[in-house]
Amino acid sequence: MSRARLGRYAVFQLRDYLMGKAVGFVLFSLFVGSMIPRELTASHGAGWRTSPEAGNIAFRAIASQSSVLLLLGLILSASYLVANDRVTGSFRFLFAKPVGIPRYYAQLWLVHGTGFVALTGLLLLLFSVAVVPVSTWPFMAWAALLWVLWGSICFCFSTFVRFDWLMMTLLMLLPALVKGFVAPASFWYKALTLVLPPVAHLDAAQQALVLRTPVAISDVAWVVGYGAIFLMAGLVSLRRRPIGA
Amino acid sequence: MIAFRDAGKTYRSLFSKPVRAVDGVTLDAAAGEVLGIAGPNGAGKSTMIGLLLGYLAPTAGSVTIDGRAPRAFIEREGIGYLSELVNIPPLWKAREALVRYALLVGIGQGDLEARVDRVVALLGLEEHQSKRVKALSKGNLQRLGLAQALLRDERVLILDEPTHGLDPVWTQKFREIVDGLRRPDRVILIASHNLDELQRVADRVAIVDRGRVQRVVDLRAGAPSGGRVRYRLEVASGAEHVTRHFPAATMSGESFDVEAADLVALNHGIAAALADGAVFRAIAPAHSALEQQFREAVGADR
Repeated sequence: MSRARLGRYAVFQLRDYLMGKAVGFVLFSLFVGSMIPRELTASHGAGWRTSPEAGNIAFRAIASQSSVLLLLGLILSASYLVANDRVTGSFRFLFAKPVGIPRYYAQLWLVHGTGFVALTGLLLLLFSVAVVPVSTWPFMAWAALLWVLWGSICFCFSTFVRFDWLMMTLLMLLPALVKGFVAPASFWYKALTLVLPPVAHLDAAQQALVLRTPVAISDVAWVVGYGAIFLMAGLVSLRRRPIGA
Repeated sequence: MIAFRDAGKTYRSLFSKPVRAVDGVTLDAAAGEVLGIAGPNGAGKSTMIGLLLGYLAPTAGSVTIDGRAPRAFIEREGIGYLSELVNIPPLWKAREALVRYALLVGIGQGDLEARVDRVVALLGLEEHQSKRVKALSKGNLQRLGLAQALLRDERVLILDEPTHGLDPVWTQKFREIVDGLRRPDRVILIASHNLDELQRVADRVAIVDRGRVQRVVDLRAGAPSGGRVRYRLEVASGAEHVTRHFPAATMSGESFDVEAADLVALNHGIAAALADGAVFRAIAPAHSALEQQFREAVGADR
């Protein structure tokens, strides 16, 4: 018996992403992006585009907006990956076919992540063509790190609960709460920062990308390692827990 | 090929009492057979199908397909499945949906369009292929659901309420399609409320109620029919002769529902009524044999 042609099905998964979840991210980014030249003209004068520093000026302006834009793109791209099929029941036809459930969703996670990072690059490319050339790769790397960490966490939640993005958002807030309420020298602070998502490492990596300085391997390793644990946990959950439960 | 062995499924939640949806079901369906599953709402049919697809895990006993756990079988070989509710994303177009499912059943590029064309023609979906799923009528959506189940020649077909929403013409065509799908190495399982439909297409019907298989009715030719017979007699005149020979007859308008131990006893009673002067306009089975068994198994009030 021949197995599912999941690789070819990725084209449909990408199309679904681009025609659905990506639309909000693109529209919001275009809106914010269209405001940046006006703001820079107001702050640096009409001739900023011809300045030799134009690229750096625009880069910093984009970086200041990226936290919100990429977070929005992340939430839109990562939410409901599994939960939506559970809620609508569309898994019923999909998995009567010779398709491994974990493999299908692992591919969906990869397709959405790739789409999210690629769209980030394309939007910056558009900015480069329409306004002034800016370096795209630091933002793409930023988006990729965000996806690897938070996209994996959201994916894992999606295998258990309906409002995965809400759970992810609550988890995003926890490290800040720990920082605010637990004494930094205490045992609990150390234990919790070890267990909770490594936002300090993610922030450090993002900061290095924005400043275009070398990114510490340990920061990347923490982010990738933590994300990988959640991704694997999600896949194990899909393998062991019946999808109709 | 399909085997439920003392299978049970109890739904548990924190805030309500456990619900035993399937309880100690032992049932087999062999290759070459069309097995029907009949039962009232909430009887456990859908849970049984959920167990068979591996979408639910049994809390007791086991369910296997060809000796393997359902997911192991399906992920290796696939099955043809039509769910009670046809859950295809509403923005997909009908043909696109079939192409997607064809990829997932492993049909290669060279054969893909031809296979899709075949099921489109079989289910009469030619003029609806370019419509979005949300624009399809209930009947057309049901046919699309059936089409995706038939994309490949699967050894196992599971059809949950397959004629739900179909018009009489397509209901009849569905029977012909099922007849055409019979194969010595294929098992077809049909869950339905429609006893008449099961009577026509199934070899055996498992009557399920309260999570249990109450009885299995063998509808194949030569199988012992068992049970009493129930007929409706439409009387032109001499109604009093009917009640004399069928004291338990119930009257509704000009008709009587009469019951007898078997066909011979029924004919004796009718002959006696005729001899006394009764004139009948029509004589017909009050219920199909399956319907009668169903009523006995689950109770006439359900």
